Amino acid sequence: MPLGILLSTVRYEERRLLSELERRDVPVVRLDPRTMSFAPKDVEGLRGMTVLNREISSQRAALAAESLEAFGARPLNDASATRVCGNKWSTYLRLKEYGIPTPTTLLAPTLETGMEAIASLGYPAVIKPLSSSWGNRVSLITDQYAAEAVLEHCAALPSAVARTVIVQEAVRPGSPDIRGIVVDGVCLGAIIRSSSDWRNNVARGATAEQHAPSEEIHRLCVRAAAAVGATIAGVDLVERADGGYTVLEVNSRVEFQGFERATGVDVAARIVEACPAELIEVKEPV
Amino acid sequence: MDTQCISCAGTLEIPADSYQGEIVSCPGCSTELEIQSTHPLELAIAPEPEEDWGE
Repeated sequence: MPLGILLSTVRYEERRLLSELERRDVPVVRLDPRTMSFAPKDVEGLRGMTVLNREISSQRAALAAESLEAFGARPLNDASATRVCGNKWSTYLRLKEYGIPTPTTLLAPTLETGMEAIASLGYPAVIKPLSSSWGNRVSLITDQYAAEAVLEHCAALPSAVARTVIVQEAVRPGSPDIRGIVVDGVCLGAIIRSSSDWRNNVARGATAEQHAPSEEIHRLCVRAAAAVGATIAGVDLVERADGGYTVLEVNSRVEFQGFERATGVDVAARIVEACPAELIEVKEPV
Repeated sequence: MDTQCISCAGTLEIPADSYQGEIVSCPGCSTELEIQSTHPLELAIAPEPEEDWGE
């Protein structure tokens, strides 16, 4: 049976994965969620198929993962991990449930609740949409006027989902953060990300350097991935003022361009090897 | 292989090892184009990034 790969846009990461699969002569079926309505013609042959979920759209990725499971396929990551990682509040709840250090976070469905949440956490605080990527709409709030302005803008958004935000304790905003990548229960390493922006997303221009992860970072990355149920995960952490580490978020469809370039680790190969062994012919790199 | 930009009609080069779904930028007009098919080569205007794109 071929390996499925769910994607629409091919970025660096998908190119690396497709190339690695070609190199290993793994038969691949591409599934484009933009064209799948899960009508009978779409679901033929899905039963039992492992499908790497590399869809760029968070909503399409979550819907497709759930649908694939319903029709007997095995998305990687699974639908639950994709859903949890796609929602920052759900991720926070899982991390808390599993006893993983993470910044104090409060749910803010309304402007008033948001103001109360910020008042209880103190300044600075961070406002984040439930779902966002690349740091979009993530705001560092340094005073009451900024809080009111951002929350008023959120409250004016047309979608109820977009109006709901989380308010999070700001942990050393502007300091570098750490990204670890976990595949199949193993932390592949870590990078440290720095930026002139207070957000350290590589997609926003942050620079990445290799970081020798301590045993604590290794352990936290593996535990955070397990908490959200992800076989493949990008775990973002930051060092607290007391020297310990806290997990900011977990990504289920991890981007690894900056990680591969900084560390030399072949993440694409490790991800391919996380697929069922009968699909993957091990070939040494040429 | 060389092809014609569907936006400005200028020439752009598509690497032979390109994949369907990759985004290329026209050097003449900077329009982003999605490779919809490699055999035969078919391009379309790339979709605008949406708010839920990314990791």
